[in-house]
Amino acid sequence: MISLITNFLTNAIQSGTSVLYGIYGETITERSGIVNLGTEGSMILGAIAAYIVAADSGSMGLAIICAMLAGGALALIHAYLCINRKANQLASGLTLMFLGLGIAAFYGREYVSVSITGLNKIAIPLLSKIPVIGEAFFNQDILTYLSFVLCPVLWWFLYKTRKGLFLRAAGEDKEVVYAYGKNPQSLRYLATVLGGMISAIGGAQLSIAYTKTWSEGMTNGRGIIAVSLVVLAKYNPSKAMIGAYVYGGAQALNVILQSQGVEISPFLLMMLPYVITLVALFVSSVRKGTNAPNELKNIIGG
Amino acid sequence: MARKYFPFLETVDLTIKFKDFVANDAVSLQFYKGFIHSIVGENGAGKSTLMKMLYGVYHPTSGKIKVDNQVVEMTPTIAMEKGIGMVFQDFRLIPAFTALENIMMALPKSKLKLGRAEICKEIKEISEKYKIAIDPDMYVWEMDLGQRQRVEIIKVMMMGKPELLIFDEPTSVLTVHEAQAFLEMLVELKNNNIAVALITHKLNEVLAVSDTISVLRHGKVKCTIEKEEGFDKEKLVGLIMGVEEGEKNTVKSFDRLEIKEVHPMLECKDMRIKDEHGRSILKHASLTVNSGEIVGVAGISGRGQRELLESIFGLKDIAEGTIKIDSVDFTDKETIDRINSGMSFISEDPKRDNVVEGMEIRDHFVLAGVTPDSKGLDYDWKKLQQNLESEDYVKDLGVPQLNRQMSTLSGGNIQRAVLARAAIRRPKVLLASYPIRGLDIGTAQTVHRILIQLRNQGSAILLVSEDMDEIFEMSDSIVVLSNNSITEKFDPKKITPYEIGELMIGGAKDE
Repeated sequence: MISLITNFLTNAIQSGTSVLYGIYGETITERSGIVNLGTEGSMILGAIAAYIVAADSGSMGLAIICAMLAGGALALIHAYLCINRKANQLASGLTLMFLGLGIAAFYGREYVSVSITGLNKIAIPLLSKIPVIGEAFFNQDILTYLSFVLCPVLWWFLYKTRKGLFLRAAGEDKEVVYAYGKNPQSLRYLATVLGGMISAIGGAQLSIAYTKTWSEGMTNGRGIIAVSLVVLAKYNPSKAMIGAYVYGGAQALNVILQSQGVEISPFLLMMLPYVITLVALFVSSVRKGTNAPNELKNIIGG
Repeated sequence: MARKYFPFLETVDLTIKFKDFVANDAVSLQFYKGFIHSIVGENGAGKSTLMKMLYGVYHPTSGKIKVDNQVVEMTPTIAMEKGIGMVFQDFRLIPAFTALENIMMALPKSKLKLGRAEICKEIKEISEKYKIAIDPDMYVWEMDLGQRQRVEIIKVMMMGKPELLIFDEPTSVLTVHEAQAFLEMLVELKNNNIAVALITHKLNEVLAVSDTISVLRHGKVKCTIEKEEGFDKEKLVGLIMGVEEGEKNTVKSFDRLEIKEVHPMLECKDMRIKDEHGRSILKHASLTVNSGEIVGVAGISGRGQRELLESIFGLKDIAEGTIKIDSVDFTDKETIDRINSGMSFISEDPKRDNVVEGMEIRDHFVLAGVTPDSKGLDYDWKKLQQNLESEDYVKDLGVPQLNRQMSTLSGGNIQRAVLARAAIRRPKVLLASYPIRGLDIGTAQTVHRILIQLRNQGSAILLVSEDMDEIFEMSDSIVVLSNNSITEKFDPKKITPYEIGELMIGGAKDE
């Protein structure tokens, strides 16, 4: 039973980490007043870029950097269209998502059967020996550890630095930012591209750390789920883990129920993460008040 | 009060032109440290333009600005360095941020290195020195308008060493008590040797605190009066409106006729009204307005004023209670029935609630029940326009050309059009929310005169306002929205504004 719980937690974290990066990235972007539905696209580009570089060069560091560049580049297109051209943010994001999926599928054709060593698990001495949770939290790959560290780092950036203050102000009322002699548009560029880069690390985690394979469309809606979970996290990186691990937990439950031979249609089980995510959104929306950045209300209402 | 020193800031023949329009013409004024200098004048007299030049937002076409007797080419950065701060009318604060975060965004480069604790300490010092109480960790959305204004003021003072503070209509959004506290704070600033420039419409405030008053009219300084010469309100109103001395100020006289046959025109009994969140904002609320009576509704904003008027007008259903117009039950009837029975509504935000922006002014008269003659399949618009243009109300209020689109009008002009429309129908019941908001003194007085005229003709008028002067000057009786209900009627001759204020606050504490 204990090993089952450990197994569940390990799975939940491995599966949730990519979504966690997506939530981090989208939170930064939305805090500045831009909605990027193209997060999925940035993630899948990150996944394929990391996989190609990992397979061809064997350097995992280079793989991660290339993933970030690819994801950031896609987000840059979004920033240009929405900020300079004042395009509809929802339309631009959705289209870029499909563009990203297409590009990744195109370059990924030759890598479907290529295997890589990928990022291996690193057990942290002592901590990984804690019963039940030690194995799940402290015997993971480096990108998972990085996602733990990013939580306080991004929170500190948004809430305790001047840059973060102005970035949030750009998402609340861009006129005020102008009044203090800062350009809200350049802050939004920064936030959108940074958001794309962070999301792309999530894609890399998926391809070179978690599954260590490449398959077409492997992000499987994680980027889109991340966008909706930003609301559950109240636009705050410090709460991002809740949503990510609710999703990851549902995925893990799916795996475990199947391995235990529970007689449920796999199609129903595959829906489980989304149903649980919807329930989580419902519960959080019942609570009063909204934390949404004010400028977003012009784009998506509410 | 002899002034031994040269002024902190002086303007010499300051002139600014926008194309052919001369907004300020040879304005020469002096601002001294430790003195409150008020600038009064009608809308469009050039007050705000002048202040924007002092702050360096606009650059004068000719003339000079001297600070400490040195000629300065003013820009906002230089203004900040010289210690000139401007407190804007629309507070530039982000509601989702705390006071501290808002202040941090405004800090100049020299203070960037300061940590949160140091900034908090400085805020505390300023707030103690000038008696401006704020809580740095409170979110702005939690604050009332008075608190927000104090944050704005401290923010401006932290941007540089304050020497001259410019206030643009600072009390227009404040309640009586908040405004009183604000005036006390101005005096505190003055006692700390800060020069204060005050722009406001409210003459009573100007008279209460000013050391110097300058009247601006058509961009020129009409006159500058020192306190020791004595201020005279009547004379000041005349100067502002351009009535020459000796000439009788006709607008001012409100002749209230004794109404003989009084009967209840609007009767609301035991109403329960829900706000948009479904909470009962008013309970057991009863109110009667008689023909030929103006009932003033006082109260802190957001205590149900809007919900009350919308319910009476039928835009909103009431949960309990009855509404009668001229003894007929209208509780379950539609808005259009109420309009047809002679009810008119002036919303607190006419631009939002009373006008269709894409339509012309004259269309709005028709929408509200003025029926034009037919001409073929269409209406006879030309005749309608001529008829309307000859109406006294339209002329008196200075409504712009009737075929102009609402979307091209300023807030004040929309207010004029909506008022004229309401008055022209000689309504049985008139619901008027903040009818003089955004209007200059001259037009505001015309509006008040029209309200009195309608009253004399037998209209029942419900007047919602936060301006105590207006409530007391206009009302035959006063009710207060507080404790989620409506008080009994008070006779304005037998109660003081302060007591009304107490009643308003009493309601504020009880959620």
